[in-house]
Formats: sequence, structure tokens, C-alpha cells
Amino acid sequence: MTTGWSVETERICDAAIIERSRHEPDRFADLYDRHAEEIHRYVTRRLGRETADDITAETFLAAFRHRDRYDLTCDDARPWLYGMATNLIGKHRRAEVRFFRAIARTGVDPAIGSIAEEVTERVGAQSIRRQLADALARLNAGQRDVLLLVAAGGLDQEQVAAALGIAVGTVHSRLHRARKKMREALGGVNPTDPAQREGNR
Amino acid sequence: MNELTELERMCAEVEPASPQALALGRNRLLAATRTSTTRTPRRWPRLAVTGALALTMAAGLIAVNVTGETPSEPSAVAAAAVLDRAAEAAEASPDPTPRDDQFVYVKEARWSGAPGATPHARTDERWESVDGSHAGLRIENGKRVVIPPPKPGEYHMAPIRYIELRTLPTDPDELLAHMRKLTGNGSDKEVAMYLAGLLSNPVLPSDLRPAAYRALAEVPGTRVLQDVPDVTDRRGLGIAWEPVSELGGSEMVLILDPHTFAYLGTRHTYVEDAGRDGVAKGDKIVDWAAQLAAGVTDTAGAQP
Repeated sequence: MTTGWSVETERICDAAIIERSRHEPDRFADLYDRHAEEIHRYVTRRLGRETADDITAETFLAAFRHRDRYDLTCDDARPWLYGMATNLIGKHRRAEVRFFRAIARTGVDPAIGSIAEEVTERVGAQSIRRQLADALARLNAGQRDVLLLVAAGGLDQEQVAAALGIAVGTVHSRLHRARKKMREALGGVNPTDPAQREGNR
Repeated sequence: MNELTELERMCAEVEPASPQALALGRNRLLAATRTSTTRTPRRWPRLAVTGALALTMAAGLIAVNVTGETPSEPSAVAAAAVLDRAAEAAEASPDPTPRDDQFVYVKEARWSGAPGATPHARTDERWESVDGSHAGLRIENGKRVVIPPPKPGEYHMAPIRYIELRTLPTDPDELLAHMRKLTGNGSDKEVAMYLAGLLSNPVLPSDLRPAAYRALAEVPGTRVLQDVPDVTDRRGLGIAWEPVSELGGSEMVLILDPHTFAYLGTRHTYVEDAGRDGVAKGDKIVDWAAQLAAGVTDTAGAQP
């Protein structure tokens, strides 16, 4: 099978790395180097940093164990990895709800670095954060998965569908409902915003 | 400003992973890749076991340029002899037997990082509840971190708790069979790595340590390296697996004191692909550990 190994390493697609790792397991570390930081960021947003350390490592261990099942026609492994991470996050569902409730209650977000917080803190940001966290805690798990794969993972709807193994239509409706709830939570923040007016119809 | 933009901002503010966390995760992955064979992937429950053992092993690893080391003839006889001496030494001065309400203590110097990075060892101390009923403690760079006791049924990772080690067989043959089963009838190297991971525990139940050395002596493919440094540059005898193939690979070394045969540490080296000429491009340590003290204490934070 053609895997494109003749080209430069940084140009090799994820699928080629995974295929090669089936015979040379250590190669799977290339996938880690490429995506671990991003997966960590996603998990940190949902469960905080310490849990993210573990879950990120376990995501790649799980992915490694399942590498024989990877569909090699998918060049980009990110949806697959996000799906693994989301599965593992699902085992901490109550912890996640507690995490967001605590942010809603205190306005302190443990996922944010202290330096970043000082630099980026805007007037009203804490209030918005509390409202968002409160709304996130109220979403059902399926809606939260979809919304955060989009907002934190940067996946499009088709990638979310692939990550979660659900239909694109399901992603669309979950995202629609989740966004509606978020808009309601932020109600009154900026009534002149067209997107928000549309949402409040 | 719409709700998705605000949420994206909240997501973008997240603090990035620390280099240490990323390196540790990478080493856990490499520990798994190095013990893997190409058999059918396992399901979740197995993964938990594998992850725990992988971490235990990763906790005792390393990497440095090993070219200066005496490669020595691969000698199964020599390895078996060294391991037999180690078993006798472990019988002569057995690990302490803690009570359930006590703590297992270990002081360790460790470095783990990306292949090719310059190792700089950090020292930490840990106290772990024998029966898992008390919070443990870790002191790393002078910073104290409480290790919460596992909740019943909680999914927890390595290190393996002492109370769990008690359930392992102490007959070498039975232990070997048990470990082989635990690896899912894995390769000899995988079995060896599980046993080495077991031996890196600071305190083992009575008879388990000699049994583990003897079981290890039975695993084919073991060889001896001379004058292997641990991360604090103590020199020892290395028990190694997985000779370098022309495709590259990895090597785990268990380092033993050359006089007392006591456990000193472990080193994990990543060997890059060989070129077409069959010469490996370089050996790079990825994880390197030295056990500096071990024992049993009545309270977390006390010295043995």
C-alpha cells in the first residue's frame, strides 16, 4: 500500500503514520507529537488540567491499541482522536458538571493559566464566563460533546459526526439546541448583536 | 458577539499542557508501543491494566547516549546468573513488610523527556497508603501534593498499590505464567518489561522480589550490559531486552548494583531507525530513573 513515506516527515498524513505504526509501534509517537497538545487543550477545557494530563495520555494509549481499526482513508486523525478523548471524558461526566458549576459559582476558571487570565481578562469577561459555565453544566452530555468539539476542538459538523459515530443530521440538531441554550444563558449581554437577535427569535 | 464566539474565547484561554505532562504522556505511550506486539487490540478493561503497568514502567525509565557502554555479548547464561544472584540477595535482605495502616515510601531521581533532550534529573519523594485507605503525599521540587485515596470502584492508575501486589504468586514459575497471562500471551520482551516494572516498586511483599528476579531469568532474550549509569550516574549491571534491530526500536534496561545486586533504577532508550547501511542513527534516552531510598513509614511525610 502506498503510504507516502518518500516525502518529508512533516508532510506525511496521519493515516500514513498510523499505518506504519502497525508494524513499527514506536512510530505512533509521531501522532502524539502532532496532536497531543491540542487534545490536551480540549480535555482541559472540560475537566481541568490535572485530569487532562491523564486523559490525554490515555487517549493516545487507547488510540494506539485501536490503531488496527483506523480507517486509513481518513488522512486527518483528529476526529478519531477527539472521539477517543470524548469517550474517556464521558466516564467523568459528573466531575465535568461539577467543574462547570464551580466556575459558574465562583467565576474562577481553573483551566485558564494565571498569566493568560491577567492579560486577557476583560471587563465583564468573568460574568460571561460564569453564564457560559452555568449553561454548559445544564446541557445534556450529547449536546455538550457536540458543542465543545466545535468550540474547543475546532471540528466541523462532519468531523464531529465522525468523532462521535453519529449522523451529521444529529450533530446539526444537537448543535442547534445547544447554541440556543447558550444564547439564552447570555441573554441581554448584547441585544444589538445580529446573531443573537436571530437566536432569540 | 455571539454565544459561539464567546464560548470559543473561553476555550482558547485554556492554559496549554506543561512540557512535563506532555513528556510523561509520551513516555507512557512509548512504554506501551515498546511492549506491544501486532496482536488484536484489547478492549477497555485491559487497557486500564496496561496503562497502569505502562506508567509504572515509564516511571522507571531513561535515555542517554549509550555508545560508550560495553555492548557485551548477548549472554543468556550471564543474565540468568546475575538475576539468580539478585534473587539470593533479595532473600538475604528482604523488603520490609508494612502494616495496612502504614505507607510505602520512595525517593527517586528521574528524568523523562523527548528523545535527544538533555537529561536533568528531578528528585521526588512519595508516600502511598498500603491499603489505599489514606491520602498519600508527593513532594516534588519542595512542593507538597496530597495524593487522595482512591474511592471505591474508582478508576485509578499506577503506581500499583501495595495491597494489590500481595495477590501476586510468589512462586517464580507461577509468577511468570501470571505475567504472561497479564500481557495477553505477549512477547518475551513484554513479559520481561512487566516483571521489570514490578521490580521497580520500592517495596514488594515478602518473597515476591526474589520470585520476580527468578521469573525474569526464565525469559528468553535477556542479556547483560556492563557499567550502565543510572540517572544519578551510579554505575551498575544492566539487564536488557530487545536488542536493536535494523528497523530501530527500543531498549529497556534494569540497572542493578554490581556488588549487592540491589535495584538501582531503570533506563529506557529509544533507538532511531537504521539507515540503509544498517547503522542505527542514534540512541536516545527517553526515561531514566534512580531509586535513592525506599522503605515503610507510619505517616505520610515521615522518613523511614
